[in-house]
Amino acid sequence: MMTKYFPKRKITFPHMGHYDPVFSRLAEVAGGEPVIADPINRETVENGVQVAPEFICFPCKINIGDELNAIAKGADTVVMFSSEGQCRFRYYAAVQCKILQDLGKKVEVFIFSPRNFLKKFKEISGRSSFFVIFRIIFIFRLAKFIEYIEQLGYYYRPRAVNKEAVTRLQKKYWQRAFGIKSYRDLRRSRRAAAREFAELEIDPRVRPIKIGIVGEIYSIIEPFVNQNIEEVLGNLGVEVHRGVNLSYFVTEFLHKKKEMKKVAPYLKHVVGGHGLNSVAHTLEYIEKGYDGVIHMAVFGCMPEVSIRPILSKISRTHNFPLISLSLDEHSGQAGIQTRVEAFVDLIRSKKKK
Amino acid sequence: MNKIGLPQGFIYYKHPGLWEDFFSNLGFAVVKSGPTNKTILDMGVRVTESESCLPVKIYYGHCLKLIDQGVDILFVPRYISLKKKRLGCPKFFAIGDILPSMFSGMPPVLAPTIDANKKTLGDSMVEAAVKLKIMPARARRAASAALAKFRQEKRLRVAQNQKLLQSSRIKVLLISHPYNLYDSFINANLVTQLESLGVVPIMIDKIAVANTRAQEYFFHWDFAHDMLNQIDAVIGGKIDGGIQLSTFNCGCDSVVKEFVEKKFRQHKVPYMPLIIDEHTAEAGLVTRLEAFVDTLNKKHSQ
Repeated sequence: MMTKYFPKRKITFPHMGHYDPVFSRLAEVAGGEPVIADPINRETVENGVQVAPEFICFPCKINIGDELNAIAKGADTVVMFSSEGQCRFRYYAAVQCKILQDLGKKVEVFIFSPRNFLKKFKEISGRSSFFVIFRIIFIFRLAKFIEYIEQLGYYYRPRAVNKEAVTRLQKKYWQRAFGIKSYRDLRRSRRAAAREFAELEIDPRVRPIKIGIVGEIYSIIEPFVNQNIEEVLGNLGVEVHRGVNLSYFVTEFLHKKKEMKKVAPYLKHVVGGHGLNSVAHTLEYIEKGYDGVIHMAVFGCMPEVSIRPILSKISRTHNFPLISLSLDEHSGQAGIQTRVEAFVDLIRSKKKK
Repeated sequence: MNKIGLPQGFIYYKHPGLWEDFFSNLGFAVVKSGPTNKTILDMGVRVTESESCLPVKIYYGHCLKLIDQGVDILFVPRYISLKKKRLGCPKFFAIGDILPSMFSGMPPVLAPTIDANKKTLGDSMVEAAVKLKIMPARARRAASAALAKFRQEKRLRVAQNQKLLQSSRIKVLLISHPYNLYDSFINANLVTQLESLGVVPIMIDKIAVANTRAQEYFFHWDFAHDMLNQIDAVIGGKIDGGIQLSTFNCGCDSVVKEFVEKKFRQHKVPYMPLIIDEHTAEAGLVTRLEAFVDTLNKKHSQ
């Protein structure tokens, strides 16, 4: 209703991995026009670091940088998600709201939380709950599609002869996701992606080692933060698996009971964030016969720092290679690359024995 | 008779005195690790995750000292929440689980869960005692005696604090967690430093809150919620300045600080954040305190 008489809202949202199509579709469903900030770059980070609280974790600084960039591009509404969890992420939205106010930006900030999601969405869009739920289910499937492309990359990158071609194909389909409007489109794109990836030339002699990625969600999803670690590993001939992604995050409550049971010998209470998932996934990777696990967190992440001693204990008792990386605005490509290469070499030599 | 070890840092300051009363009422020998010192810090820093906050590092040092002393049981309560519908810092949650996995040759760890959302503090105490094979009725008596004493002492401290607030000298509100405020090693003798500069330090945790106002934002951290209410209770004219003491890489403070700072700015009260880590030297601190107190003096005399 609102959209009829008022100009469309220009809605922006912080980046998170390859999920831009998902968020921009959400913005469209909310009756607005998505404003996508520039891909995260050094300038984004610098802008964020300037105004963000000194000791807040890295993702918050990037988020603020993104928002400032989008506001400069003409956005007038900022949408931020706030979890109901135990870690600082819960306050990201509040802190960002305060900072934008302090900077005198004339924007409206909408804070979504699992509890008020539907209500807020109806408020912005002025549509019925039926419509909203219907569209959100589709958007969830779209997120699944993006993850499917990621997973195709995990499988084909170590095996493909031409690694560049994999990158190119992945980029193509992530771009295509912006234009997917119906379930039919989704099905077709999925099939086309599977076909095109299958046509890649594969080196049949390659027996890739398998590494699982666990850790704090933003640092493992966002390639800028983790220096594109999935690609780096894939190019080294490693098949990656990552259990935590957006669709997992949204449906986390479904897995919680099972994971609590799994980690019970090591951890008896949730520690917020993805601390529990990290432990549970590490144990799962050990059971599934993976060759190693890379644990990533942003510097000072409270849940991940808390469980790090548990992970190293698991690694010791199971004699299982595990490396824990801390990432922040000062981590460089070379630093990560060197450590990851050394880790992969270590696993290879362990396997040969 | 079993020796129970109480690491005297971090979690200890949530209820100072309560647990040792409780266990000695039950007839256990309570061994405390004593005040924090350089050796304890060094022991802790060596074994902990480098990104943990300072109080956590010190806490592990206390635990190690007790293990060396040969206690039979190590008492590491798991503080989830002290208030309904609130939660504590996630770093509290995992400590009881991490300790046994960190060192070999550990004594058994007693880690009762204290969660006001599920049980009262008294019930949690009884539950802890039952794990030590104490009859519930006896535990209940010991718990209520210890709790009564603890509450009495708390009332006394609050009353004393009320007197301090009437003082005509310059009053500075010290905003921090109890484990920073009362551990003079962590805060580098902040309290005595301030006193020697002729300022009355007011501890935030002793401020009684008469009526809780709705805060601008809902904080699910029990301490953050209290802190903001306590600041509200005194900020209108009762204090001349505020110092927020936080330790390096304290995740909660990094958020709460923003909101505390905003309150002070709105009321135009001088405010200074101090961040402390294991490398903080007393000289650096003193200079900053002197400068801050000079500012307050100037404002006061106007």
